[in-house]
Amino acid sequence: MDHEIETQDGIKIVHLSGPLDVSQALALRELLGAQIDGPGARVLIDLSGVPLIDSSGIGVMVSAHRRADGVGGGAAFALAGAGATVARVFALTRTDRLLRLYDSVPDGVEALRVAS
Amino acid sequence: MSDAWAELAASLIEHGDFDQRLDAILRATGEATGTPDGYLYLVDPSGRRLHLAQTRARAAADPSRAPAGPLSQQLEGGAEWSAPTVPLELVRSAALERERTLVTPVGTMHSLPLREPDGRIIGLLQTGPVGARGLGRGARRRLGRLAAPLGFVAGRAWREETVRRQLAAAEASLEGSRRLAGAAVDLDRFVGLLLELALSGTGARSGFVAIIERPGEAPVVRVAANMPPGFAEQVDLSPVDGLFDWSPLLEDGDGGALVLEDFEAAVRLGLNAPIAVPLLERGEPLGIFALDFGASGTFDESTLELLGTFADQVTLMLDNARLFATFSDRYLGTVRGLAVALDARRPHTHDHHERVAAVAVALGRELGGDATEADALREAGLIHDVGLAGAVGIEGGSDADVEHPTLGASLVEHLPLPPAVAGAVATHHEWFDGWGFPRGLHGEEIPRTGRILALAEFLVEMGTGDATREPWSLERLVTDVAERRGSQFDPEIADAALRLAARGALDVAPTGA
Repeated sequence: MDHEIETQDGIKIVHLSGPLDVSQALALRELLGAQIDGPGARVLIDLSGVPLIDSSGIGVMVSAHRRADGVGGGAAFALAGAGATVARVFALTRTDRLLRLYDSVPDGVEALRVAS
Repeated sequence: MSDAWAELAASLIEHGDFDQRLDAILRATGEATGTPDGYLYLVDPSGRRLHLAQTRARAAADPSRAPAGPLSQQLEGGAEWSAPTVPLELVRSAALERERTLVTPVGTMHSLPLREPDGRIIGLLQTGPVGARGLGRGARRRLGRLAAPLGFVAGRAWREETVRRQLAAAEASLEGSRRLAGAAVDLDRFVGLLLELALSGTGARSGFVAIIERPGEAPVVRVAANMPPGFAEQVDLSPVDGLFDWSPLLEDGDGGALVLEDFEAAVRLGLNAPIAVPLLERGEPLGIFALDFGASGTFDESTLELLGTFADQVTLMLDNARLFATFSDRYLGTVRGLAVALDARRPHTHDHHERVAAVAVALGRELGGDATEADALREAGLIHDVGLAGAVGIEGGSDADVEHPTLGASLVEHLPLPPAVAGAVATHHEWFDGWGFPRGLHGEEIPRTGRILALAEFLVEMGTGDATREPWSLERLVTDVAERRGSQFDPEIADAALRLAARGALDVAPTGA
């Protein structure tokens, strides 16, 4: 798993690439935990470079989502750009109902900007 | 792109019909080689034989050749002409596993093994007819370029067809089981079968199904395939601290989700790329269906589609089993209630069923029976005379009385109870020497639970007395049991009763009415 981080309008966009499975789960948790660094943090995960995600990768995303809810101050966590396979895993595990998912990174940025 | 190529490509990405995919292979082969006839064989599940799966021959357009299809053709005037026929089955051999020219019953053909991307042979393509010198160089080169995609399409078609057939077989088997014994489905067996099918259909390395046996409790692993040794005992599936966070589901089944939380445990348990799906019915969690795709495992959308289908099937099965179990519990409660109501009609039969059950269990234990037998004896004891509900007060009551064991057994034989329960109810008036009723069975033709129940009922009935007879004393009971040993009662069971009596452990007296 590789990543790149850019900031746009105060929103941290984390571009992930590579599969997200058990072997990556702890590193991914650290990476996302570091981005949700305090009240008001807004983080958008770009999944367009992720070919597959398993239940452990989904678990990290849900933990990050809860962490953002917990820090308060308008902190927000969202995901964007999931391909068909990744989107299907969100649906099968029913986590698509818990998380904020957007079709594309621009859609996600727009939603987080409006919400701030 | 030619039509055949387009069709071949389409069959790769679409959910094509099995026959259409095989047709596409033969059409593409015909276009590449310029030959009219083609025969496609696929390896059978044993791997030792190849079966003819599809043909493409001029027979359809030119009936005079008839190289494939029916073994013979009707000629004008009714005479029968036997056409040369293509073999329906080939025994796999080294000769068939390389590309070559072959003389076959339908002419000289070019033979090409079809391989999966990993090199395994999935089938054999024969195209022709070709001249004595074999397929031309250009045609051979064009076919060579096609070999890999043809193998890929054939492999995919074969696997999907195999899964489809297995599913159809599983469905038929499930339907059979539903009909049998009024839907008493052997849940673990069928869930295990579905898990196996899911593994072969999706290419997953391992998997498990965990079931919530009682609402609010942690799911328990009921079936696991290829999981590390001890997985079922080691995995913690409790809702709060376990491998998965169940809380969103438990709080709101309809809107909740299943989240893998304990990554360290996942690593420890040998999971690599698990997809765990919550099994929900009407918003209530029933369990987890999980597949692990292994270290190098990948999955695509169609794999996940299959996973979802299998999860739905398991959900349906769990829901049916649960509904049936609830129905059975309530029904059995009604039958027990009927037995209690019968006992309450006369003072001397007060608690009759309860006492017979207790004595039968004591006899079973004295005979060294296990807990399962004890459960069956208790259940049978609690309902053994319920068939009398159809006898009491009916004209010609004596016939109905003789039939009450059969009637009683018929009330419970379709329930998911050990067969020994209905067996004991049906035979509790049989005698060891064949003089009992309703069937006059002998010795071990009578199930052991029936032989035990027979003696238990005798002891309770005679030890209680009725409106016309005083209760027998323990001494009288002991004397009579010893006398009837080998005639009315199984000697081994009579001896067990005598041992209990000698120890003062035979309690047949009523608890008071």
